[in-house]
Amino acid sequence: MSRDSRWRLAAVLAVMLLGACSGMPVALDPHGSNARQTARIAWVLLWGGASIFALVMALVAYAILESPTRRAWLGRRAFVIGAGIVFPVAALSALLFYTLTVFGVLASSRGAAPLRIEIVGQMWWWRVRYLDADGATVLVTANEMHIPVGRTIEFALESADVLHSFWVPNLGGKLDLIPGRVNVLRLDADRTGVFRGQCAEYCGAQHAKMAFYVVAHTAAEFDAWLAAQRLPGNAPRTPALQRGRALFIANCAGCHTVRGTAAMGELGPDLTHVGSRRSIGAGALPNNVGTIAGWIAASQHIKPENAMPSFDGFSGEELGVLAAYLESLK
Amino acid sequence: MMDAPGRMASKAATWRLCLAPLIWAAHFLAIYAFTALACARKGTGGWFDLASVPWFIGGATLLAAAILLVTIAVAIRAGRRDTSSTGASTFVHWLTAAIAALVLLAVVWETLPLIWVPVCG
Amino acid sequence: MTPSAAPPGQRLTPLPNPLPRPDDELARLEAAWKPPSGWKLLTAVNNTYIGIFYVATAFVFFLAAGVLALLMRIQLAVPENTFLDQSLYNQLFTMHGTVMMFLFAVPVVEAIGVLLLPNMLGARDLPFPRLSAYAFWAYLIGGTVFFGSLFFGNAPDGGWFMNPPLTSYRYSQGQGADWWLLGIGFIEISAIAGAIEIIVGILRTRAPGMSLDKLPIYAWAMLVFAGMIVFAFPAVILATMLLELERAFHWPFFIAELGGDPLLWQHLFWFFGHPEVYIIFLPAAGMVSLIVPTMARTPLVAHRLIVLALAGTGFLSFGLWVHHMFATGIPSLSLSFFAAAGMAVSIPSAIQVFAWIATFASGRVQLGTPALFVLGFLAVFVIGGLTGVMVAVVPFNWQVHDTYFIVAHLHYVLFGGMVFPLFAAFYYWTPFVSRKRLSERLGRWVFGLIFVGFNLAFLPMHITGLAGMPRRVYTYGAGLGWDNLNMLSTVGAFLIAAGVAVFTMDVLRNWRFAITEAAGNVWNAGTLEWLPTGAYSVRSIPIVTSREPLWDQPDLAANVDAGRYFLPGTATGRRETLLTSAVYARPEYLLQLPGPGWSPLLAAAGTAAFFLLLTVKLVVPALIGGGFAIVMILWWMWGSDPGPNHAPVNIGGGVTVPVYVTGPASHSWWAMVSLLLVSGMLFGSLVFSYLYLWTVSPHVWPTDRDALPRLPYPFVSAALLATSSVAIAYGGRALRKADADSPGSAHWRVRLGLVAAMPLLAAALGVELYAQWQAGFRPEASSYGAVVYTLAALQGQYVLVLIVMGGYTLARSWRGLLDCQRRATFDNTMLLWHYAVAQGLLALLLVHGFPRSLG
Repeated sequence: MSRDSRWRLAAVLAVMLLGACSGMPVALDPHGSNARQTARIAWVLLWGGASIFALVMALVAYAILESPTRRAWLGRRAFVIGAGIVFPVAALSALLFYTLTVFGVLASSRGAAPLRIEIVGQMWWWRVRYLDADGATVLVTANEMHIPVGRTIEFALESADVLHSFWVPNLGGKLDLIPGRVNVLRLDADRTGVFRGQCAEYCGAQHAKMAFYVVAHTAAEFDAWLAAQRLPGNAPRTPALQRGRALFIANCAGCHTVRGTAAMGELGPDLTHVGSRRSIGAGALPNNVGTIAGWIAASQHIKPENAMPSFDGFSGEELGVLAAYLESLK
Repeated sequence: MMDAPGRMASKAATWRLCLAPLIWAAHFLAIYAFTALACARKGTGGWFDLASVPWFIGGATLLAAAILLVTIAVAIRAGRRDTSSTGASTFVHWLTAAIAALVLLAVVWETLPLIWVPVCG
Repeated sequence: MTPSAAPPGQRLTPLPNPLPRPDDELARLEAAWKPPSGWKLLTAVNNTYIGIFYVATAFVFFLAAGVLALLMRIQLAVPENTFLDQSLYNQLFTMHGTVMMFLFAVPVVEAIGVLLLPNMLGARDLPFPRLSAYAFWAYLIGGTVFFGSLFFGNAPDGGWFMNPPLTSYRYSQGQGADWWLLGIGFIEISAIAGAIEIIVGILRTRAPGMSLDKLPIYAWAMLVFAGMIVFAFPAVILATMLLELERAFHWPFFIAELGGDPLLWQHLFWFFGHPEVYIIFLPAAGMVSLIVPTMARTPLVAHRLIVLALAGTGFLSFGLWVHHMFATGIPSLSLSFFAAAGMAVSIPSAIQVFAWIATFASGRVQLGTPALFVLGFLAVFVIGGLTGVMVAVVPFNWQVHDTYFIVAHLHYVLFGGMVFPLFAAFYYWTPFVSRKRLSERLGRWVFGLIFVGFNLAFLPMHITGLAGMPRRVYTYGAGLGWDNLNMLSTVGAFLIAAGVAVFTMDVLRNWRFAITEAAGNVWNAGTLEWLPTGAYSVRSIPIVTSREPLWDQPDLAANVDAGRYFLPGTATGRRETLLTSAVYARPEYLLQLPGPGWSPLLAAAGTAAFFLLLTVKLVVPALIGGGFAIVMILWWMWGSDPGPNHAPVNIGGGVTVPVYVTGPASHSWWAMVSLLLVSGMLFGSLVFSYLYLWTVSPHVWPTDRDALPRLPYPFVSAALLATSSVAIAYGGRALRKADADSPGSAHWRVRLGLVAAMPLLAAALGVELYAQWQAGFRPEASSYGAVVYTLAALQGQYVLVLIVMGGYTLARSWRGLLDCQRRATFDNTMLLWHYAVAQGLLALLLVHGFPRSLG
């Protein structure tokens, strides 16, 4: 037993060491009020659980190793009643009281003048629509949401096909996207930063590669960002980029939209400002000319079974200008 | 062999044993169904409106608690009155009371959220 | 270890049967119980053989599913790995979960019950040996074919809980989902059959004197386990039926556009799914509760509280299912009910843990391998239980749901809570069925490797989940902080595999099947399974006066084996066991048991053929297989219900019992009632589905009374149903006067009742179907139509079964095998008949009354 507990201790320490190398796990690294309240509960639960575990293991060891006379009290029915009924009832009552009050606050918080963003989950990307106070669409984008710090964001979550789940651990808990329903998730960021999110409900082949980013700005920066995003896509300034746009409209307009051009397809993500995003393919790749080109030519190798076929018929030069055009749509 | 009154008492005791879990299930089903309907039909008027949720749940809990307390009392009394002193019948009475006590705790805990948690959230 | 006082009226001396026993008594007993040899072993029905087959098969599935896990861990060891592609990985994780949960976890704990319970209760076998044989073969064939789907690239890939819409016809167009639905669907029938048998066995076949307070704690655990199966499995069977109807015929239960709801699946599945994990845990807890006192060499402390804990867990676990749905947007107050119930259910587990600690403390522990695994279980399960309380807290759940934190939690409770006790049980009970024990020296290695490997694999996953890694991902990006944690988990997984490999080697080297020459009570345990045994289980059925009979009655083993107790031979020349009363275990009658035969195996093959051929849409061959199964089952049934074919038997001690009993006291009545509970839960789940769909989709419900089928129809249907019941009751009344010897009119009235009842039942259904069709409702048009026609379809299943049973009962009457005394067949048919009529009436009330009551 003691040899085994030494093994366990070593394992636990190793884990903590290695886990700690990457910093605090995101769910315990809150950047919003929802995540903050949850993290507090999490620490109470983790420390409480660890203490109870240690206590129980100590009792086990005591029960086996201590001398029979000293451990006799542990063998009585009164102990079982005390430890198995009285203690849990007291501890769990306290836990219920604590967690229900926090949950009550979380569930009823509404925030003044929330910013409303509609998210439609599809296999395997995120359609994003910014709405104004009357519910009219102000901006359509995909796979990346920018928000102002300190303001409640109301994410209206829907699904176009199967179950998905919207989860940004730095900002709060998750909520599922269910066909036929609109689930509302209220989050806020209390400081600027870039926060990664990922789909958290198995949705088929590429569930593993359905990520997104939430970027929190100061209020002024956010207003500037929104204004820039609402503009039509950058007009191409060089002949190469113009050639790229032409290729785009000829090949991609059926599925994609770039406002300000003839491309108004809605099957795939809106690409009006795709160059400004941190990633492409819903978090599958970082965003630069090379990866864009690679995605166009071979998306089925990067994210097999995704809805976009590999366009491997372009020549190298065509691919280059097409990718450059998309990258220029900042 | 057991005499007729003894057999009847044994049958009654066995049914009493099953009563508490059934009360728990009925209470749980009732409060869950009512809350779900209240939130699903929110704003359309009719039987299930949000204001009546606390009353319904409170009432269900009081009713369940009353039945459970009676069950416990009857089981304890039957256990004390039991002259056959076979381990089996005292065991059944004890188990009846103990299960009913556990159910009572569960029912009370399940009602507590009313105090802090909004109905539909 | 003070012996408990013998209850009044049950003195230990004189023993029921005197010495010397007649010369041929033992030989006749052995002849009746002689096991078949060679390839005829396939016909065995003795619980010892079926139990061994069952445990071995479950263990093989454990190894197979474990290999799948190793493959997954290789893929996840490093980020962006290309060892497996997404298609194969998604099939692997689905199969790993499905095989572990359905083909290993529940079967293995059920199998151990099949193996141990009769001996532990002082019975010779389970009450329906052919039923357990059938259940085993169905499981073996179905499970093997299901697993084989992997080799054809056709395995399901929707996750082990198969959430629609992903698993419906639009997004899962291959056959994989159908394999899961039909394959697993019918394996669940196996589990239910086993559960019914265990309930009747524990309640009615105990040794005299083993009143409820002296029931071994493991038997309590198995009783609760079996009861939970009866109430939980029907929900998933219904869900399976609904999804298969949606896939095959596009009936939209889960399609939102047509009034369905994906959450309906989740409610039905998890209503089963949460009790399922306690179904897996409770038998293991029962095993621990037997192993701990033996290892500590002292009786279990707080036995009554543990019984309370088992029963409490049993029903409270039914109030936890929404824990798996906290992130679906269900109203917050509703979520809280489940959070509170989750707190309540952990009290019974706490009681058990501290009772085990108390037992250790009050004894002197011998640290053999079983004890090591029990200690490992305590450590791992307590962690799992604590993380369980954590995830019952809604806000915390919202962060960790569907992440590796949950993967960690579920493995801590399932592997910790069942697999560790299972290994303890292997080491503990091997001497019960093997000539040689397993190696204690290797056992320590097995324990060390598995314990260290398990914690290395799964402890980091708590962090991995909190670090943001969701479940069911075939790969992950570098630089997210998950790399090292995953590598640790992979190393740990291979350590577990090494431990299991050592164990398997030890089994192959040392385990040699034996009953009479088994190693025996090497641990000096106190419960009855350690009595000297043969294929007939115990030579004579003992009188029990305490919970640890072998500790409190030192001469018990010798006296039992000498034939001093009840029924020391075979009274009728056939296999027999003693039926006793439920609470006090007083002898009531002698149950004649069947010997080896082909019908269970053949019936299982036919049943498997039916379901599996349907999966690949070969309908005609499937129907042939199904027909064959029915014929085999009827052949098997024909040999049952022997009637009072022997004079009452003196089993010893002045006790004489009949050899045949009918009515509410009979074991077959109890089995039928259990089956009716299953049926009721199945119907109840469908009623829930109807009301749930109305709650979420009132817009597809008919609001206009004129749109509904006109009123005469349901009344006609109801009248036909009621008359059908009356006809059966009429037949039943007549049966009371139908003597075996006289060919009088009573027999004809019995047959008339049956002949009339069948078309009435069918016509009632026909009228209802016609009425709905006339009114224009179609099952594929909306979820309303789908659920209404499914109510009819469910009724139709009962109509078909009852026509077969009615015809069979008629046949028996014609052949003179049914009369006022020999009436078990009629009674079983009658019970199911009245149930089906009641179900039909309730369905009519719901379908025709509910929409009208909405005003």
